[in-house]
Amino acid sequence: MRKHPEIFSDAALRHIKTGGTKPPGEMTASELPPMAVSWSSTEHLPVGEWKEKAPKYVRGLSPCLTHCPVGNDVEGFVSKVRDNDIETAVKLLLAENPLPATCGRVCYHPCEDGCNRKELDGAVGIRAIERYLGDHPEFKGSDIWQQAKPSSGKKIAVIGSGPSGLACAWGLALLGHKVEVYEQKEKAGGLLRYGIPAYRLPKDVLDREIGRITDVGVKFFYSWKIGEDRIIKDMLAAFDAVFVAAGAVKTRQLGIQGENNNNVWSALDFLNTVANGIIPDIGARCVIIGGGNSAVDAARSARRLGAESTILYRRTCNEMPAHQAEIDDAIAEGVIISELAVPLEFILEDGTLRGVNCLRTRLGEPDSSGRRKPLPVPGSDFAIECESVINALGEMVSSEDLTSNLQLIRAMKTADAWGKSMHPSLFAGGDFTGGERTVAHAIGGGKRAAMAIDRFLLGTKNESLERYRVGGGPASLASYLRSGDSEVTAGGIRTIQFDDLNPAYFPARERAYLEKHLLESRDFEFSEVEPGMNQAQAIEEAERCFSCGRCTKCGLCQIFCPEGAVRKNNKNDLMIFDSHCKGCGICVEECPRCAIEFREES
Amino acid sequence: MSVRLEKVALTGNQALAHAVRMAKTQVVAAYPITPQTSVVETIAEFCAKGEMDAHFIQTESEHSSMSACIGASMTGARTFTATSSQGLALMHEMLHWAVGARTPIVLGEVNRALAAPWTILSDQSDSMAQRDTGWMQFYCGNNQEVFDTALLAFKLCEAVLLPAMVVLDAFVLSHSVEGVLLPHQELVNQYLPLRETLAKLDPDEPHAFGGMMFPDVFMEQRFKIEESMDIARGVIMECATEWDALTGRLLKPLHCYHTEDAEYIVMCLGTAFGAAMQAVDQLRSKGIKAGAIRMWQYRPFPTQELIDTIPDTSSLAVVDRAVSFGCGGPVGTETKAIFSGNNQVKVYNYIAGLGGREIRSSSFEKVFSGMMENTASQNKINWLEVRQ
Repeated sequence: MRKHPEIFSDAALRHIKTGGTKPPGEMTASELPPMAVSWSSTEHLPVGEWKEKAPKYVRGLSPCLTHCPVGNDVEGFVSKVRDNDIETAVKLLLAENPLPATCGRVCYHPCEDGCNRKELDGAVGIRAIERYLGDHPEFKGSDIWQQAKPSSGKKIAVIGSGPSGLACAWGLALLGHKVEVYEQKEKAGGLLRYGIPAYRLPKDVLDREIGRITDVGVKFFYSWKIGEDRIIKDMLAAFDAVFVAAGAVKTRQLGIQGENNNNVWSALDFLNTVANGIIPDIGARCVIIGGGNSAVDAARSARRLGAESTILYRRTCNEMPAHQAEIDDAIAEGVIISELAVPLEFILEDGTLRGVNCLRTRLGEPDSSGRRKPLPVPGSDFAIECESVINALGEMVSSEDLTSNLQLIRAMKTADAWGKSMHPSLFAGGDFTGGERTVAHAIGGGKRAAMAIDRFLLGTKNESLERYRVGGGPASLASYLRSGDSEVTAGGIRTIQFDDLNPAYFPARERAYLEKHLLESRDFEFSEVEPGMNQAQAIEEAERCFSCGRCTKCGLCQIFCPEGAVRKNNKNDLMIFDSHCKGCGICVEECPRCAIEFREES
Repeated sequence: MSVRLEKVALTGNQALAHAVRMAKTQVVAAYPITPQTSVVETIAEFCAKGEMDAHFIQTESEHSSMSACIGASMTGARTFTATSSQGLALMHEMLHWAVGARTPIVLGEVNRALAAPWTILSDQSDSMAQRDTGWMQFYCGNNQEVFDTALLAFKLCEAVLLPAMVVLDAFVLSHSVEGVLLPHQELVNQYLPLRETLAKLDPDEPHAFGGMMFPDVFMEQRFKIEESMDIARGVIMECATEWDALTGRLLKPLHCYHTEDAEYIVMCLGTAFGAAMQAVDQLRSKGIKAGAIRMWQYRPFPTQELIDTIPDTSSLAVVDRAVSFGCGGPVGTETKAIFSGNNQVKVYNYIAGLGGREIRSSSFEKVFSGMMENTASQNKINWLEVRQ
């Protein structure tokens, strides 16, 4: 095809390439290019002066972080799994939580309740991803976390090896302290070993987790009865600090006739016996009194021993404090729930338990817990026949069993959120310090106490620990290890909600559900009910994570910026050139995860 | 080179899609609208099946489609979109922009009347309303011509740096099947090599396009558009001749039927030409010297071709399928302007076939008798077959 110099002459092309030789107003039509085209790039047009508002990259918090009672960097480890960087993911997780395989099984995943993805197509399966990382066989504690701080020469005693004690010991070890854990039973784990049944948390999984803690130098002493073998006052003298997390072990009494019968178990004793591999004789029918998680654990354990299990609960299923998934699984396994019923007395024949006399209730006005109060229905008596009863009304803390020193009892009872008590070197955590009684909360409390102890031993005592909280909620040990050099504990950080995100970039993708192995017939082995994910499944599930509030360098801002003001520097970080950003806000609007904020120009 | 031909039964829309595929178009941005939709649907299928290596962008409106096309074309990509009626109207702002930015975009325009009242049927009011945007326009008479015109349009546009519309009547062409000869890909490659661009959006050699122009150069830019339109007249002939040599099919600004000795001539655009030729046959059988013209090339307007074609003493009725209210049909008024200094050629303007109303041979016979019996007005619009 012939060229048409009238349209685009060589002279015009030269002008574009090398710059004008004369002002455009003096050029003829054929000297001019056919379109308005600059002789140089837009870098010569500092349109940045136009703007009234400027975009800034800001770190926001994914709600999973603020919801996690442990203080896990949830988005951090999930996004590392997404990138197939498993080692970093494990490291991020273990920096906050020594028990990922445990939490990955038994935590009631408040993170998933907070997950923004639930507004789209179901929360990310965070717990399953955590479990995958916790179960990963390649990483031992010492591989992943050597002692993070130089040895301090300080020595701390931890009383109790439940989740709180283990978390505190792990935190202190990473902080460079010598830790000795004193446990009353023969093995470590506390409630994790002797309370939670193996079908939810296999013992070998727990052993591996504890192995990781011994890996970093924590020493365990078993069969130590505090108060008898050694008294706390002596320990306070022998150690630089003492952390008490002895748990809630005293069963609440039913207060009805026949309670002391041999076939009336406390839930803790029953679960403890089963955990020790002993098969208790509970007969063909077992009644469990209570509506919490230990009631459901006991009922499902009784089913595995072959008994017909009936949970007797004074309100309805809707008010049961047990986790809904556990209740559903229990029902699926054949556990009967007798709602709106309270026990009146046990039926005994010649000292043998034959059943329970009960009374129906109805729900009245809400009480102080916000739940509707059960009121007895006169004349509604009925009897349930059974050979055994398990009392699962709940457990209480008993400081008196540890010491008779009233001052120390008072000190432990008044410990604050960081475990600090009125006695400077005495700290307390777990069920001892009140609050929600979950594994995750216990771990969170143990971790906070580790920071408080470290601060007490080495730090500036007046400096507040509050700055290590993530979005004002859980505390981050990783942030503390780096002396606060952390994005997630920065002051004023905002938690990102679903409305802040740009869902156009997140196509619907169903959450992965793995089929549970629910009980079909008697199972003395207590085989695990929930299966774990393999690496491909974990990565696939992690790909569903929005990474709310964190720039993943996806580069959409760079693609959409009409001025080319968004560039990547040599570290591959995105930057906005103030001189060329005209403040149109397209990057802010397009950012899928709300990692750019539009701020008024000052 | 051997000319391997494959005759395929295609609708006008499919023929257009095949041309876009064989042109190795690189970017297609579009929004669906009846009766155009099957054009881009077919292209989307080509892309999905891997038969075409193009970026297919479904936008949220035609305004965005044209904007995306302009951006893509500025990077040097061969770019296509298609629309109809309201969609084309929504593009209006960006149609001007495409011309001013000198982006050689090809647009498949399936003629559909503009609302209100709603209709999906054909007339030329949508494309005629865009006649002043600077887009070249070609009105096709059959599906083969749709295919051929689209390939020519890419070649032409890229040579003169102006965009073009390939216009086809709704349903009569867009949804009716005819046999279409598809050439071998190598032949198309030879006819239409990859696009060459002198100045483009390129991160390696950054330039800003479309910036502000002050009065000292703005008019020169407008002059250059008109100059390019003039150049296009010649380039169209070159492209058509080359295609004729390769395929034996000649695209012409005006398709004429018995005009050489004609005393009475009707002129239309698009598929109504079939009925016009039938009417000519009818009149010729009665010894009346009738003729018919189909205008394929509307912009640039084939002024000289018309002067050369219309016999010295004759009557010419321009049948418009669009109306510029308060003046007349767009083609009719422009044709009148050409012959305004010529007392020997009488030009009449008829409006017919709006909103899908059929123009039959009997309709054209009425046009002829209007000229012959002097009942038609030269000064006013003649509304054909309208109940007054």
